[in-house]
Amino acid sequence: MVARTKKSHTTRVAAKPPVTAAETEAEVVAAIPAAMEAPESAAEAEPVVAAVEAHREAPRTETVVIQAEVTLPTLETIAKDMLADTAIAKIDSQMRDAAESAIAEGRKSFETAKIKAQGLTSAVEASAETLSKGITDLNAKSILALKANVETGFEHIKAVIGAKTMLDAWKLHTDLSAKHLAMLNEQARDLAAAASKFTSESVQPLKTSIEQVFARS
Amino acid sequence: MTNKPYEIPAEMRDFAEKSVEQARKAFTGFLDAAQKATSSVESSLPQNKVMELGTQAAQFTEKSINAAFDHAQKLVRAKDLQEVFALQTEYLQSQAKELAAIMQNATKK
Repeated sequence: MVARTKKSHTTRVAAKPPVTAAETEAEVVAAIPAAMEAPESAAEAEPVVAAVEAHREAPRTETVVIQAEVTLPTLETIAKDMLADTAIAKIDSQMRDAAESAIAEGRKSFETAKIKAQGLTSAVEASAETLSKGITDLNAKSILALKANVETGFEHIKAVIGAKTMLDAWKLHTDLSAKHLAMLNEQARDLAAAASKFTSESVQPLKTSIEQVFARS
Repeated sequence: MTNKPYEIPAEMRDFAEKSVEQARKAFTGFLDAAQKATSSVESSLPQNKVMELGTQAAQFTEKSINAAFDHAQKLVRAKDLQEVFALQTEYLQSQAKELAAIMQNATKK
């Protein structure tokens, strides 16, 4: 099932091939000026919300993806208009250095506990249950983390749009970036722990049997 | 750095805010669906299937965290607000695509 969003209606079309990127983009570009001129566009959010609700009932994906893709380029266009003649803001280099090293640190903590997909495929005979529980847990944590990151992204855009002056906007941007970084480092730690937990637990029976073989010889 | 106010008409600001809200809602609905689709892994599944799901979960986690770090790095290097907007848009779109792929995998059994 493929659904498309036209500029003002949510039209569900049972099209045979999936919508191509080019097609969707063309529609988006066409939709932007019309949508920008229409102050009554708030009312048009209704079908989108309805579509999202319907989507929740039956988890098929294309509808919502395309909705998100339709709306976001519109935003970028608005941002360009908004910021066209404004001065270029400069970030304080000290703050930038601190942020860079925080990122490097977070990455490292994730890398060191990195998931060993290979160890995973060779393990497990005895622990299907442990593994399936671990996978479910990791999936849930990953999606929650992504949710938090996406929310932060939207919060970021909204805060910057809502700011009254360039200075306010830039301050909000740097504050939110720092906040997001702290959150990201925590996520990396949690996810690495969740992953290594289910991988090492699943590997355990195998490890034990290898140890027994060695103990005998 | 300037203290001059944004030169944006109020209606445009309103429209921008509504667009963000709309996209956010769509994304949330999508994430909920993804959550549902991956919320249980039957231990009675054939083992190779469970292994495949485990590998997928691990890859998704790794990809998504790496994307978030890449994004954070680009954000702190951003030179102006326009770049910030472009980066956020790019990140949100790439994550929507990534999720779409995951969901297609999860539902096509």
